[in-house]
Amino acid sequence: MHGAHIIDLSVSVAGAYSARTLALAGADVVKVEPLSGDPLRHAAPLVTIESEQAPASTMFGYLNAYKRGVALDASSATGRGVLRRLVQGADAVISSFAGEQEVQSLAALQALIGEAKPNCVHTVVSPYGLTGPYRDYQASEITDWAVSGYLQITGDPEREPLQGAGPWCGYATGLTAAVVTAAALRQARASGVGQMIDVGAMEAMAGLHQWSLVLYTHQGVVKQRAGNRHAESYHPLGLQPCKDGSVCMAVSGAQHWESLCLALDMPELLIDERFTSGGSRFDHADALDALIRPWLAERTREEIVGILQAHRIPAAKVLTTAEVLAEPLLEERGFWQLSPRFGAQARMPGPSFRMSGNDVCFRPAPRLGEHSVETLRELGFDQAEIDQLVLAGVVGAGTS
Amino acid sequence: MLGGIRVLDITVAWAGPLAGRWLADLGADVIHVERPSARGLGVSLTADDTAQDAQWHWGQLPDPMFRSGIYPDALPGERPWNRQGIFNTMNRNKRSLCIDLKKEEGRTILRELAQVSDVVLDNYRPRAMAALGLDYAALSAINPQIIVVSLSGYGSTGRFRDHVSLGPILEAHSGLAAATGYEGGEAMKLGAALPDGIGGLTGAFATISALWNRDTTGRGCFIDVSQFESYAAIGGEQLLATSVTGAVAPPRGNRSDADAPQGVYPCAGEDAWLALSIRSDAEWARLVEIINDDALRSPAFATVLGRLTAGETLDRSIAAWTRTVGKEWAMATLQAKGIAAAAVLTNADIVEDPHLAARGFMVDVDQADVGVRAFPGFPVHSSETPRPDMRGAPTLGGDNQAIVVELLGRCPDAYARLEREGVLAQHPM
Repeated sequence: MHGAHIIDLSVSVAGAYSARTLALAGADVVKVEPLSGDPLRHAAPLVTIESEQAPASTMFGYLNAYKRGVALDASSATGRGVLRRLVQGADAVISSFAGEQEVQSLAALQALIGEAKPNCVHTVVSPYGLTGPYRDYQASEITDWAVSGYLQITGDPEREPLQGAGPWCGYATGLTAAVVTAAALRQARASGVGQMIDVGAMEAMAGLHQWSLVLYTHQGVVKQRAGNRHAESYHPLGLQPCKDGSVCMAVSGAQHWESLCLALDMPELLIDERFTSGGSRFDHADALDALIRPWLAERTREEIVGILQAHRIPAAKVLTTAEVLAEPLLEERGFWQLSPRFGAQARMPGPSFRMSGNDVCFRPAPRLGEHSVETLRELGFDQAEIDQLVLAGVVGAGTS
Repeated sequence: MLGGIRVLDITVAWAGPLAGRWLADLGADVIHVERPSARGLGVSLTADDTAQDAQWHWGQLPDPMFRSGIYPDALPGERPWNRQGIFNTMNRNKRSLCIDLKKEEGRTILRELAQVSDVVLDNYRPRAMAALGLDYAALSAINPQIIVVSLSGYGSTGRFRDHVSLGPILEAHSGLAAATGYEGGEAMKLGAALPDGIGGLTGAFATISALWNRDTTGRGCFIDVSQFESYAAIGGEQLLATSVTGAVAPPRGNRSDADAPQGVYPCAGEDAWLALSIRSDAEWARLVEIINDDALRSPAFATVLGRLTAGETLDRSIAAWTRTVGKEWAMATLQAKGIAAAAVLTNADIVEDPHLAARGFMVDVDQADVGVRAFPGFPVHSSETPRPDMRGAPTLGGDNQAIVVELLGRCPDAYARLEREGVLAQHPM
């Protein structure tokens, strides 16, 4: 996305991740925060950094790397004037919406963009979208999971369902917003017509079910949760304990099953009536587990994955976050981006795709107002004007 | 938005077809390239097979491929390969070219197609594409503007480039399964394979970025998307934290690090739940008013610190109340007082949901060999772009003629020969 200029006004995971995604594809992204800063600056996880007084948020630090930062009070006429100039220099604005109390400010923002830069793309991310009966509903990570359809089907069938361990609905919504924003940017450049894009997390996640919804529309079946087993038709497909932790394997059709029996050196399973078809393997999952678990218990994750993959069966180790940091594949792939502001050993994921000829330069997440002066100068403000804005408390110029 | 762009979508399963589906929904001409043994069917169907399948019900099919096909009303019908619910969800708005790439002539046709296409998208293993002569080196030689997107499990380089991958194993490998779990519990996978969704979106985004770049540079490129890396990236804040502290956050169940109470509570009815999170003392006070249980009015719970340590006590009181009410009523009642609460929706709830209905999410699609069925539609709204048409997924090889005769200019006799010789097909072989 080289040559695209984006203003990120958002204060949500979804908004921040969509802007980050565009930045990693080469767009120039300027994050504009209120003078008090993006509330995500205080979001967990919080870590102590030697050189800093207050704990630093890795949520903020991760989501806002690769962006420059401006601090602006856009509530005054002067502030709105600065925002206008920022928008005029932009091809897209990303903002977040969180309910009834923000209807006025969203309308004002839309009006400002429409007047200042008619061919601008304005993407608004929100939990429920900008229309519909739930538009003004309060939302949080767990309510996102609840309405996504993922929560009901995750966890132990004998107890309450379970959320995913992070704000992944926000991440998925942000990626969805990035896809459509990129397409809209291309269209605006070609046609000169901008537009507003409305991305609601509930819909974005509803669109990320492989067969949950089809199961109901085609067969009236309500999808159940099955813990670490496959809920519908395959076994073993899921997590299995082994000597030094657990592995995930995916044995689906006849070919995988035959390969598994060979891999485990248990050819007798191939003629065991209980396991002759995918359906019967699923129906006799407990019996099958009882037979394969002793084999797994004698072997490490590494060994099991090596053996299964050699037989073309999908399998991987279950790793902890710390083990992922040490995973040699990711080092080999150049996945990690060092983050010196967090410490000498600190690192975060860099780009998740490699595009020939596409080089992106890392920037740490900006301190509050770190690039206010630089950005305003680029927009044509002279030093005297900038000094006046800082003095008047309209612009925050953070120390670098 | 992507009108005039042609994509060869050489994909199977979920992540790959999803990336192609996004491009199709956004207006590109997406040709889904499939093998004659496609759509999960490795063997040809006999009349006996079909009759047996018609009698199945959930949990008792001989071949899991039929189950995962998910036929309308559980009936495979005369042409089961055109009736699979998953395939039809993933491949709407696309055309189908059913071609045998193991035959030299099949590969020749595909190369001709690549010359008049903008994007080749695949989620096969990198070696497989190279073996077919369809990797970037070969394709860019015949079309320097071509954008080739490889959407593989672990990427086109590296020690796992030949590993076979599926969504759940990437959940495991990424650290995100180990982070998920009940308090004190084991690693847990999600109920749907989110890595595929994230991978598909990443593939679509990377493609559009490359198109943007090509508009100014005139050059195509090769894009190597690793589904594993795309998914690990959504755990970025935890990876960064652990790289600083060395500590790994243990599974926290349905709790929040900062807010209390937060949890999932049982409602009236079978397997019915409400999720709620209280983000401020004022929000807590409003919840207490609604529940009207004196035990909750204790000053010990007036602050978040007090509530964070009283988890189980609060859970019991809240659950005692939620058990007496329906989840939808609870959601509406609590939201009316500005409390973050949501019914935990089943797949059925989502299909029938009034908010999603108002947003036009589920769409009736006239699907060939099926009739009209509801399918998930396009999840984003744009002010200047009309909602995309939802054309049903193509029948197997349904566009063979349009592509090979009309687009590539082969004569009808040549087309007939290609069908006879099994280079092209419209039914499984």
